[in-house]
Amino acid sequence: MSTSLAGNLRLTVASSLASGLIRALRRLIRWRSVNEEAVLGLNRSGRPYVHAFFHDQLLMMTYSYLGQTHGRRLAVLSSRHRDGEYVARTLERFGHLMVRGSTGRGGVGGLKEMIGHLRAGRDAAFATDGPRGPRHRVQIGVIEAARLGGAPIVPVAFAASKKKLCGRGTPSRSPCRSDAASSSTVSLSSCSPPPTAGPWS
Amino acid sequence: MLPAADRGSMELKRRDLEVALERLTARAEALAAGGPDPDPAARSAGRPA
Repeated sequence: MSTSLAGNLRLTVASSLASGLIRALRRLIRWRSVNEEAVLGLNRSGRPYVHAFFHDQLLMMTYSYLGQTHGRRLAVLSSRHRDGEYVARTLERFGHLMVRGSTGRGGVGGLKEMIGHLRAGRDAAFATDGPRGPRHRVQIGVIEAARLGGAPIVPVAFAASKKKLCGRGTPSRSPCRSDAASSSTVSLSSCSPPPTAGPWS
Repeated sequence: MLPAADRGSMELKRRDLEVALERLTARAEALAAGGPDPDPAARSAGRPA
Protein backbone atom coordinates (compact mmCIF):
# COMPACT_ATOMS: atom_id res chain seq x y z
CA MET A 1 0.00 0.00 0.00
CA SER A 2 2.72 2.46 0.97
CA THR A 3 4.68 1.47 -2.15
CA SER A 4 1.61 2.15 -4.26
CA LEU A 5 1.08 5.49 -2.56
CA ALA A 6 4.71 6.39 -3.02
CA GLY A 7 4.53 5.31 -6.66
CA ASN A 8 1.43 7.41 -7.25
CA LEU A 9 3.01 10.37 -5.57
CA ARG A 10 6.13 9.96 -7.69
CA LEU A 11 3.99 9.82 -10.84
CA THR A 12 2.02 12.89 -9.84
CA VAL A 13 5.12 14.91 -9.02
CA ALA A 14 7.01 13.77 -12.11
CA SER A 15 4.13 14.45 -14.51
CA SER A 16 3.52 17.83 -12.94
CA LEU A 17 7.18 18.76 -13.33
CA ALA A 18 7.34 17.39 -16.87
CA SER A 19 4.24 19.27 -18.02
CA GLY A 20 5.55 22.44 -16.39
CA LEU A 21 8.88 21.99 -18.14
CA ILE A 22 7.23 21.44 -21.52
CA ARG A 23 5.06 24.54 -21.04
CA ALA A 24 8.08 26.60 -20.02
CA LEU A 25 10.08 25.29 -22.96
CA ARG A 26 7.26 26.22 -25.31
CA ARG A 27 7.32 29.79 -24.00
CA LEU A 28 11.06 30.03 -24.45
CA ILE A 29 11.27 28.87 -28.03
CA ARG A 30 10.35 30.51 -31.28
CA TRP A 31 7.83 28.21 -32.86
CA ARG A 32 7.21 27.91 -36.54
CA SER A 33 4.51 25.71 -38.03
CA VAL A 34 4.78 24.68 -41.65
CA ASN A 35 1.94 23.34 -43.73
CA GLU A 36 -0.55 23.49 -40.89
CA GLU A 37 -3.34 24.00 -43.43
CA ALA A 38 -3.29 20.23 -43.81
CA VAL A 39 -4.77 19.76 -40.36
CA LEU A 40 -6.69 23.02 -40.09
CA GLY A 41 -8.83 21.97 -43.04
CA LEU A 42 -9.65 18.68 -41.34
CA ASN A 43 -10.35 20.46 -38.06
CA ARG A 44 -12.72 22.91 -39.69
CA SER A 45 -14.60 20.14 -41.47
CA GLY A 46 -14.85 18.19 -38.22
CA ARG A 47 -13.25 15.15 -39.82
CA PRO A 48 -11.12 13.11 -37.43
CA TYR A 49 -7.60 12.21 -38.45
CA VAL A 50 -4.59 10.24 -37.25
CA HIS A 51 -1.75 12.44 -35.98
CA ALA A 52 1.32 10.33 -36.75
CA PHE A 53 4.88 11.03 -35.67
CA PHE A 54 8.10 9.31 -34.66
CA HIS A 55 8.68 8.38 -31.03
CA ASP A 56 11.79 10.53 -30.63
CA GLN A 57 9.79 13.68 -31.44
CA LEU A 58 7.27 13.17 -28.68
CA LEU A 59 8.48 15.93 -26.36
CA MET A 60 6.84 18.94 -27.99
CA MET A 61 4.33 17.04 -30.08
CA THR A 62 1.40 18.20 -27.95
CA TYR A 63 1.91 21.69 -29.39
CA SER A 64 1.84 20.45 -32.95
CA TYR A 65 -1.74 19.35 -32.37
CA LEU A 66 -3.97 22.28 -33.33
CA GLY A 67 -7.37 20.65 -32.87
CA GLN A 68 -7.94 21.97 -29.35
CA THR A 69 -8.41 25.50 -30.70
CA HIS A 70 -11.33 24.08 -32.69
CA GLY A 71 -12.81 22.32 -29.67
CA ARG A 72 -11.49 18.92 -30.71
CA ARG A 73 -10.01 16.22 -28.48
CA LEU A 74 -6.99 14.05 -29.11
CA ALA A 75 -6.69 10.45 -27.97
CA VAL A 76 -3.08 9.38 -27.50
CA LEU A 77 -1.85 5.81 -27.45
CA SER A 78 0.73 5.23 -24.75
CA SER A 79 2.41 2.01 -23.66
CA ARG A 80 1.35 0.11 -20.55
CA HIS A 81 4.90 0.10 -19.25
CA ARG A 82 5.96 2.40 -16.44
CA ASP A 83 7.47 4.98 -18.79
CA GLY A 84 4.16 5.00 -20.65
CA GLU A 85 2.45 5.85 -17.36
CA TYR A 86 4.68 8.92 -16.98
CA VAL A 87 3.89 9.98 -20.55
CA ALA A 88 0.16 9.38 -20.01
CA ARG A 89 0.01 11.35 -16.77
CA THR A 90 1.94 14.20 -18.36
CA LEU A 91 -0.18 14.40 -21.51
CA GLU A 92 -3.41 14.24 -19.52
CA ARG A 93 -2.38 17.58 -18.09
CA PHE A 94 -2.61 19.00 -21.62
CA GLY A 95 -6.19 17.81 -21.95
CA HIS A 96 -5.55 14.73 -24.06
CA LEU A 97 -7.38 11.43 -23.64
CA MET A 98 -4.99 8.61 -22.88
CA VAL A 99 -5.33 5.09 -24.22
CA ARG A 100 -2.99 2.45 -22.87
CA GLY A 101 -1.50 -0.32 -24.97
CA SER A 102 1.47 -1.01 -27.24
CA THR A 103 2.87 -3.65 -29.52
CA GLY A 104 4.06 -5.67 -26.55
CA ARG A 105 1.28 -5.24 -23.98
CA GLY A 106 -2.43 -4.60 -24.45
CA GLY A 107 -1.95 -3.76 -28.11
CA VAL A 108 -5.25 -5.10 -29.41
CA GLY A 109 -7.33 -3.50 -26.67
CA GLY A 110 -5.52 -0.19 -27.09
CA LEU A 111 -5.96 -0.26 -30.85
CA LYS A 112 -9.68 -1.01 -30.54
CA GLU A 113 -10.07 1.92 -28.17
CA MET A 114 -8.22 4.23 -30.58
CA ILE A 115 -10.45 3.10 -33.45
CA GLY A 116 -13.47 3.80 -31.24
CA HIS A 117 -12.23 7.35 -30.65
CA LEU A 118 -11.78 7.92 -34.40
CA ARG A 119 -15.27 6.59 -35.12
CA ALA A 120 -16.64 8.86 -32.42
CA GLY A 121 -15.10 11.84 -34.20
CA ARG A 122 -12.04 12.36 -32.03
CA ASP A 123 -8.52 12.64 -33.41
CA ALA A 124 -5.95 9.97 -32.57
CA ALA A 125 -2.19 10.31 -32.02
CA PHE A 126 0.30 7.53 -32.61
CA ALA A 127 4.04 7.43 -32.01
CA THR A 128 4.32 5.21 -35.05
CA ASP A 129 7.57 3.40 -34.30
CA GLY A 130 6.42 2.05 -30.95
CA PRO A 131 8.18 2.21 -27.60
CA ARG A 132 10.54 -0.68 -28.22
CA GLY A 133 11.69 0.33 -31.67
CA PRO A 134 13.27 -0.27 -34.08
CA ARG A 135 13.73 3.48 -34.35
CA HIS A 136 11.80 5.09 -37.20
CA ARG A 137 10.29 1.80 -38.27
CA VAL A 138 6.55 2.37 -38.54
CA GLN A 139 4.44 -0.35 -36.92
CA ILE A 140 1.33 -1.61 -38.67
CA GLY A 141 -1.06 -0.59 -35.84
CA VAL A 142 -1.38 3.01 -36.98
CA ILE A 143 -2.34 1.87 -40.49
CA GLU A 144 -4.86 -0.59 -39.07
CA ALA A 145 -6.41 2.10 -36.88
CA ALA A 146 -6.75 4.53 -39.79
CA ARG A 147 -8.26 1.85 -42.00
CA LEU A 148 -10.83 0.66 -39.48
CA GLY A 149 -11.48 4.16 -38.14
CA GLY A 150 -11.95 5.50 -41.70
CA ALA A 151 -9.58 8.39 -41.03
CA PRO A 152 -6.74 9.94 -43.02
CA ILE A 153 -3.24 9.91 -41.57
CA VAL A 154 -1.37 13.19 -41.21
CA PRO A 155 2.37 12.64 -40.75
CA VAL A 156 3.89 15.27 -38.45
CA ALA A 157 7.55 15.99 -37.77
CA PHE A 158 9.27 18.26 -35.30
CA ALA A 159 12.80 19.62 -35.19
CA ALA A 160 14.75 22.17 -33.19
CA SER A 161 17.73 24.31 -34.09
CA LYS A 162 19.42 23.44 -30.81
CA LYS A 163 18.85 20.13 -29.19
CA LYS A 164 20.24 17.58 -26.87
CA LEU A 165 20.13 13.98 -27.96
CA CYS A 166 19.56 11.47 -25.19
CA GLY A 167 21.33 8.16 -25.41
CA ARG A 168 19.78 4.74 -25.36
CA GLY A 169 18.38 3.59 -22.06
CA THR A 170 15.95 6.48 -21.89
CA PRO A 171 12.40 5.41 -21.07
CA SER A 172 11.38 5.28 -24.73
CA ARG A 173 14.29 2.93 -25.43
CA SER A 174 15.12 4.99 -28.47
CA PRO A 175 17.19 8.14 -28.78
CA CYS A 176 14.99 11.02 -27.74
CA ARG A 177 15.27 14.56 -28.91
CA SER A 178 14.86 17.46 -26.61
CA ASP A 179 15.32 21.18 -26.91
CA ALA A 180 17.98 22.98 -24.99
CA ALA A 181 17.45 26.72 -25.18
CA SER A 182 16.16 26.27 -28.67
CA SER A 183 15.87 29.47 -30.62
CA SER A 184 13.83 28.08 -33.44
CA THR A 185 11.48 25.17 -33.69
CA VAL A 186 9.75 23.75 -36.68
CA SER A 187 6.62 21.66 -36.55
CA LEU A 188 5.84 20.33 -39.97
CA SER A 189 2.83 18.45 -41.13
CA SER A 190 1.80 17.10 -44.46
CA CYS A 191 -1.33 15.65 -45.86
CA SER A 192 -0.17 14.98 -49.41
CA PRO A 193 -0.36 12.32 -50.43
CA PRO A 194 -2.62 11.07 -47.65
CA PRO A 195 -1.31 7.63 -46.81
CA THR A 196 -4.78 6.38 -46.19
CA ALA A 197 -8.35 7.53 -46.58
CA GLY A 198 -11.64 5.83 -47.05
CA PRO A 199 -12.03 2.19 -47.99
CA TRP A 200 -8.97 0.01 -48.31
CA SER A 201 -8.29 -1.43 -51.72
CA MET B 1 -6.88 -12.85 -40.98
CA LEU B 2 -6.74 -10.39 -43.86
CA PRO B 3 -6.41 -11.68 -47.45
CA ALA B 4 -2.86 -11.52 -48.84
CA ALA B 5 -3.74 -8.62 -51.18
CA ASP B 6 -5.00 -6.53 -48.26
CA ARG B 7 -1.95 -7.34 -46.20
CA GLY B 8 0.26 -6.30 -49.13
CA SER B 9 -1.67 -3.07 -49.49
CA MET B 10 -1.30 -2.34 -45.78
CA GLU B 11 2.42 -2.98 -45.95
CA LEU B 12 2.65 -0.48 -48.82
CA LYS B 13 0.75 2.09 -46.77
CA ARG B 14 3.04 1.41 -43.84
CA ARG B 15 6.10 2.05 -46.00
CA ASP B 16 4.50 5.17 -47.49
CA LEU B 17 4.01 6.56 -44.01
CA GLU B 18 7.55 5.64 -43.00
CA VAL B 19 8.97 7.44 -46.04
CA ALA B 20 6.68 10.44 -45.49
CA LEU B 21 7.77 10.75 -41.85
CA GLU B 22 11.46 10.38 -42.73
CA ARG B 23 11.15 13.08 -45.41
CA LEU B 24 9.23 15.41 -43.11
CA THR B 25 11.78 14.88 -40.35
CA ALA B 26 14.68 15.66 -42.72
CA ARG B 27 12.83 18.72 -43.99
CA ALA B 28 12.01 19.95 -40.49
CA GLU B 29 15.66 19.46 -39.46
CA ALA B 30 16.82 21.48 -42.49
CA LEU B 31 14.37 24.29 -41.81
CA ALA B 32 15.18 24.36 -38.10
CA ALA B 33 18.88 24.62 -38.97
CA GLY B 34 18.07 27.71 -41.03
CA GLY B 35 18.84 26.07 -44.35
CA PRO B 36 16.81 26.20 -47.55
CA ASP B 37 13.65 24.16 -47.79
CA PRO B 38 14.66 20.80 -49.29
CA ASP B 39 11.18 20.41 -50.76
CA PRO B 40 11.44 21.53 -54.42
CA ALA B 41 7.71 22.31 -54.59
CA ALA B 42 7.93 24.64 -51.60
CA ARG B 43 11.06 26.29 -53.02
CA SER B 44 9.49 26.96 -56.39
CA ALA B 45 6.37 28.35 -54.74
CA GLY B 46 8.60 30.68 -52.74
CA ARG B 47 7.05 29.77 -49.43
CA PRO B 48 6.89 26.79 -47.08
CA ALA B 49 4.37 24.29 -48.43
